[in-house]
Amino acid sequence: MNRQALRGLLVSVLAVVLALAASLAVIALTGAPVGKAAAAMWDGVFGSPAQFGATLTKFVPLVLAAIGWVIASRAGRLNVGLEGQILAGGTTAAVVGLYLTGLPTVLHLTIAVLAGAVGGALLGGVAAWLWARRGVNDFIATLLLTLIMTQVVSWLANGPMEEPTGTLGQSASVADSARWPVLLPRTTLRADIILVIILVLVAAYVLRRTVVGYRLRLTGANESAARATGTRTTLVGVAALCASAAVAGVAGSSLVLAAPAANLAPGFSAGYGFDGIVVALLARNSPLGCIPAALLLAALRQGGGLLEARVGISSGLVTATQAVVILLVTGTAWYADRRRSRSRPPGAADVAAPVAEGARS
Amino acid sequence: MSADIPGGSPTDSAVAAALSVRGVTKTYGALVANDEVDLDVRPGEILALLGENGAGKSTLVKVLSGLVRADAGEVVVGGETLPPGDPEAARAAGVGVVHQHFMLVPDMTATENVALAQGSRAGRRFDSAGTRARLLELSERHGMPVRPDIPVELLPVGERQRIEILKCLLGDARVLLLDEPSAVLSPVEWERLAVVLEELAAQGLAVVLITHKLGEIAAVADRCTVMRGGKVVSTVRVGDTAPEELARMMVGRDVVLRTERPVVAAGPVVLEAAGLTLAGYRGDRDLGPVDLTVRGGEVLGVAGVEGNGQSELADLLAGVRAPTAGTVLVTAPGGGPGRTGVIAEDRQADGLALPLSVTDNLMMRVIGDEAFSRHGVLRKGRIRRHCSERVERFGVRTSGLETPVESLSGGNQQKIVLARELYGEPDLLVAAQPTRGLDVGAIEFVHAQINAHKTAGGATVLFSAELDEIFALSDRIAVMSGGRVVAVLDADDATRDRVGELMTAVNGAGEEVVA
Ligand SMILES: Nc1ncnc2c1ncn2[C@@H]1O[C@H](COP(=O)(O)OP(=O)(O)OP(=O)(O)O)[C@@H](O)[C@H]1O
Ligand SMILES: [Mg+2]
Repeated sequence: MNRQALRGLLVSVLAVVLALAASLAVIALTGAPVGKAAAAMWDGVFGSPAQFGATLTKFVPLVLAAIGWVIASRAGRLNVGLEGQILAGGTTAAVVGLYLTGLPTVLHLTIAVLAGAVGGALLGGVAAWLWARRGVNDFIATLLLTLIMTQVVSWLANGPMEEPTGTLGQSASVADSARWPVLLPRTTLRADIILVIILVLVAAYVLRRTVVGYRLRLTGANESAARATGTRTTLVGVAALCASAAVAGVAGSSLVLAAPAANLAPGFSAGYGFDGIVVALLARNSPLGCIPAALLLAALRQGGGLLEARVGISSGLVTATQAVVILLVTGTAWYADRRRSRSRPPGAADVAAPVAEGARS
Repeated sequence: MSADIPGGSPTDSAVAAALSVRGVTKTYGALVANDEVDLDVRPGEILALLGENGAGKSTLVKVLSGLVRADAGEVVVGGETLPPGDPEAARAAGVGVVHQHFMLVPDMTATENVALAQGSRAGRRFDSAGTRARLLELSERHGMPVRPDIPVELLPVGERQRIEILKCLLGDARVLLLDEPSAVLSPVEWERLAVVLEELAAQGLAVVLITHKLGEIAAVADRCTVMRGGKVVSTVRVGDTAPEELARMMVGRDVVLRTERPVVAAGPVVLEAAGLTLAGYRGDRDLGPVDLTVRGGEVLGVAGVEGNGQSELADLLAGVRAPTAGTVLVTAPGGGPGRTGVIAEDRQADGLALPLSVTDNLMMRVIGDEAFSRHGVLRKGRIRRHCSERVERFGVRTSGLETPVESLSGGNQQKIVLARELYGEPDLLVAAQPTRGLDVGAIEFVHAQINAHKTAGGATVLFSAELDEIFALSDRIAVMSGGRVVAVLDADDATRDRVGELMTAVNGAGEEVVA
């Protein structure tokens, strides 16, 4: 068991090293100075407290979205609509931050973050309802709701919630009492990162040490056996989707309440919901593994920014190198899994496509 | 036949062995699944491989077919040493395998499945028409009827198994390995398979047959190799050895092959099923209406040809499926609703969560009990103690409590289900094929458990494809045919002939029904 975990970690580390080398190779191919590019990447992440703070700021929504994915997928549900739930949670948090004024800081902030969780859970709840009662595929339901939510945010930011001058296409800043306090002075890093770490630990604990977590894992591993032995699997599926969405909602609240502008703007999430899925894949669905995986992806995003600014590599190419890294890392992990599972009977390991049919003994 | 050399020493067999195994060792962590295994099979002979659950038979098969790479030792086929861990090379050398768990793509037809296996050799060319013709030709020649154009998931298991065998023959197999082929077959289907195997051997194929059924070994095998704890204990000639002797070699102690049925005074009614109906259980066929009453201290055996509604009835009684009409009432002896324990017919699909650990699988029903969780938090110490007690009591062979169940041997997986479902003395036990895939020692154990459940006043409904098992355990026997219970006999008055007659008499669905 432990040896397996160690092996998994080794594979991931190796993959990252390989991937970074490959991305430098891509940069070299374009004729840009590799040394300078590597230095820029490094500086982008660790160059100054501000840069490092910015990396950690990106880390927060990434790790939360990843935890959201892990919760749903452990129960066998595919919540690809994390992005939409982030938007929903950010919106409700912004509403509370903007309009529910006159409260002391601690209370206001708490309510705003909770509102984020509720907002995410509501959108996730709609998808869960569609899945449980209407038989709509969870993948489709969550994805479609994301498309709708994107439009809703855009409409709110340009309409009902737009700032008083009505020219910027975004809302005013939330009340100071609803903003996360700065953690590192002169950086964008705010205290929400502490909450995030706690949430990750709680998720890991719940999955491993509680009855709810047990039923979740059981349902994901074999729904039919779970149902036959007294677990209410539909309820578990709904709960998992809602909890997953609530965590995404908290990510959304952070993107509003811990941002410099602290307001609702169209597209304020910029794909964290989807990147979170990548993080969870990198972490092989382990809640604690999401922390290093999210750090890596945050560093790539942050380092990539400086690469563009300093070495003059086009942003398209930066995105492409990041994609190479992600592909290589997930690819290596997948390949290692496949190698391992070849020593087992096919079908036994293959949950998605049960090849082993018929003879059972 | 050259089967007059009982031993398997290298010098004897080097003459003509189609397959020889030398010193194969395979370990999983601390567990030695195969320990210096030596084995020879000659062309034209059927060698039975017998061993307890977890003795390492399937592991050996996987080593021979290249699916698993052994830590040490070599496999020689037709004089050539196979490269280890290379399924492609093993197939090319003529090793054909029918695995314990079939390896067919469910939504592809027989032709496509066979072509798929071929294609990977013939430069991945997909010659569908040619394959179909050859498949039909071989199927005709060996008397193994298959329908080439229906997705295999819709075919009965017996036919799927024939497809597996034909797949091997089409790949020019010289050695055919079958891992518990009869576990899923009805007695009639087994008879057919036995004929085919003898014919194949007569044509010069070397056949290795893994089975837990001593009767089958006596019927078709020339020699029998017995394994225990990963080692080969001995190889004997079947004609010279009594079944009891084989069982003793395999388990290492005397085994009671026939259990005494305890007579228990019937208690209050525990199960009452009235007017149970399930519309369209097989296409347009309806199940039922079925009425059953089972009392505490009573075992009701349900016999029938596979596909006549037994599986569906088991699901209804177990509460896994809702009936279209009718009721199932389970009453505890003291009144109030009773608890039901279920041994699912298809354990991998409905009884176990394969990727999860032994512990997780043992806790499914009781995780919410005060004894194992408080305020929703698991009580790890108690859970661990409970699970080690269960594993010990049911003799589950596992490398640890955290081992994923998918890496246990088939028989040990079944023991996990039993250990879980018999815990806490359920009022009603619905047992569907409870000993499928178990070794004789384990069968003895399961039968003893069912009898103990009965003596303790529990009610049991036993579904089994083995008439022997039905007769050994049941107080009354219900016979199913065409989705209905056609007769309920008292075990003392019932004869095998009478039951067999009833099973096939009234509109019997037979086994060739396509869903
Ligand atoms: N992939 C694996 N990882 C760990 N242990 C394994 C693995 N595969 C098999 N084993 C262990 O090796 C031993 C031998 O298993 P094997 O499947 O060969 O038994 P078997 O003789 O076929 O038993 P059965 O009659 O129950 O099918 C078992 O104890 C099993 O738990
Ligand atoms: Mg086996």
